[in-house]
Amino acid sequence: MKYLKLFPIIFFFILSYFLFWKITNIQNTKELQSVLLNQDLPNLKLEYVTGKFTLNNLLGKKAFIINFFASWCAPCRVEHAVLQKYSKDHIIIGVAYKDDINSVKKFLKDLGNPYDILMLDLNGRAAIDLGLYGVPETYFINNKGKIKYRQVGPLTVKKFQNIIKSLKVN
Amino acid sequence: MNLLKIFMAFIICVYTKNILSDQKNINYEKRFIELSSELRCLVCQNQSLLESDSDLANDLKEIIYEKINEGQSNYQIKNFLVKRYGEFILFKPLFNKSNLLLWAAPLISFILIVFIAMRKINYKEK
Repeated sequence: MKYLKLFPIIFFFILSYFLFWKITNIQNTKELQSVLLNQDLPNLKLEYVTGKFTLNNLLGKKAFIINFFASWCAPCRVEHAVLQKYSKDHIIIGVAYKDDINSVKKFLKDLGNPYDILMLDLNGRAAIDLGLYGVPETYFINNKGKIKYRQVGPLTVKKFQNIIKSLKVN
Repeated sequence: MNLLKIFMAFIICVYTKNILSDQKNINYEKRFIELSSELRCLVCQNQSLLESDSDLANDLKEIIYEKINEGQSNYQIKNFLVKRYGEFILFKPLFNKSNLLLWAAPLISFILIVFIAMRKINYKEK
């Protein structure tokens, strides 16, 4: 019974420690992880616009990046320079999200085209199949066709380098 | 006379069909409201899909409505969304192995409190 009196105090300390641990580890959960991580890329219903190859040519053979963007999206314009910088070393597939082809063409003409394949997701259904929150969003697919990383929001040079580095290590 | 009977039967058929169709629509609407209020908007995370007017929420509501019309159950529709957005999309967590502690916590707390209270009462009586 003597020890039972201590129970609320012990419980309070355990609970405080648990909450403290949760708060200090919140940084780790800040990245929005995809439930599709380490799973096969789903079959996406996209409208093919231009490109050197098709998605099926690449899937399961080469690693590539899928970037969802839109001409009406301001952060996509900022991110575009990063994609341009790395387009020579990586295969990047651009998917224009809920956009019209003329606006996309103008967007790429103005800012440059970093995409090896350009596709359209007119009604946003392919994006939902990937669990997209909004644009820009980027998916890193490995040479086995599995989704290895999802970046929600615009990529920066540092971010891009870190992702590529971590994926090479893994 | 026969013609009149046929005409009456036709009227009754059309009327019944309309009533059933209306009832079906009301049921679909009820299910749509129920489902979209149980799901979280991923853009405005404090709102349900029903309350949110974000682009993504509207797309997801459209999918829910389509799937209800296709005859899919609430479980199937929720499963479709969980597969894409994870359990985070559900306001009410699923009852599974990883959530067991969460679901059991109120019961465990209750048993613990009752146990302590009983001990305390017994101690005072002695």
